[in-house]
Amino acid sequence: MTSLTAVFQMARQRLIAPAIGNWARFYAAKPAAPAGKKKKLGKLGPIMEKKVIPVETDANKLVNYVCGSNYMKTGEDIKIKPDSEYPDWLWTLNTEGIVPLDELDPNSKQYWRRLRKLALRRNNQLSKLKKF
Amino acid sequence: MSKAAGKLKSLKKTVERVTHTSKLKTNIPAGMAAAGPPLGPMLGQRAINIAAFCKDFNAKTAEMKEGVPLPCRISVNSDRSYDLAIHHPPATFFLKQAAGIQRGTMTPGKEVAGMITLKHLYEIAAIKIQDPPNVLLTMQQMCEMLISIARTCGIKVVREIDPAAYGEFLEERKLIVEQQRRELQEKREAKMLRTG
Repeated sequence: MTSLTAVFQMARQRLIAPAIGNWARFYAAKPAAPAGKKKKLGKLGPIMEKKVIPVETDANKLVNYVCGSNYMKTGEDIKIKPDSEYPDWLWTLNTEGIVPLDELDPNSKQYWRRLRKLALRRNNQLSKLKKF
Repeated sequence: MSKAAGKLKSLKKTVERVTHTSKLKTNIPAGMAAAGPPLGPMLGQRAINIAAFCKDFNAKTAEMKEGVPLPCRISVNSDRSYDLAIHHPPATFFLKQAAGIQRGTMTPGKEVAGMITLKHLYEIAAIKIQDPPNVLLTMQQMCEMLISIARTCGIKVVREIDPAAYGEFLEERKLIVEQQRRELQEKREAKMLRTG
């Protein structure tokens, strides 16, 4: 009896198991992914993806041209012209930051605007300190 | 009396309905308008045909480089039609492109992300002054406005730039940005571990 069961087990291992193993191969192959980039899908449709716009890395071009000024597919970026072609007021612009109140002219509008702004700020700070 | 009433009725018909809804202000990348978020819900709330709008916008911006952010002003009429006004790209886009940087600083005033000259600034101002909100500004005012925008981006406005020195600066800056990105990523991962 035991020999019979042993024979059956051997038959199952040799004949049935490999066949079951082969069955997995008969499933339909998964469709290949398309070559193009697939759009992300949100709940309400394809999500608007952010495209990273490349920047110019050549320092010479950055200095001599206004890179990015031409955002059309055709055309070229604006070339920097010599100093004489720019207005005189351009060279007097303050690029350093906020000028302190002491350095402003008391007869100018900016001085009084700044003074008012600072006074308002100070008053607000003082009113914050009041307990009731 | 009936004639007067009839005239009033006819007058009422001719008077156009005034729409009191505010304009929809948004930045849309050129040629990349899609029906999904964030644009879809915005237009959907105002009952605009999203597919038609996207098609119209992409057609209008077909000759522009893809992905350039374009500030749009969309005013919706009572009959569900819309008026689309496309402005020039934002000042920050122009300034970053002119400086040759991908992103500004996280701490403006403490570190410098890039540099541009006053000439660059003037040329950018000449483009931006064409936008409807800036039409009444003088070139000087426009330049001052751009200087303050550049300051918030961490871009330094100088008189002259030496190309060799600036090239070195950009190389150093690339390493700093990479390090900052790594630190941010680590912080994010640590936060995820804490919350998880």
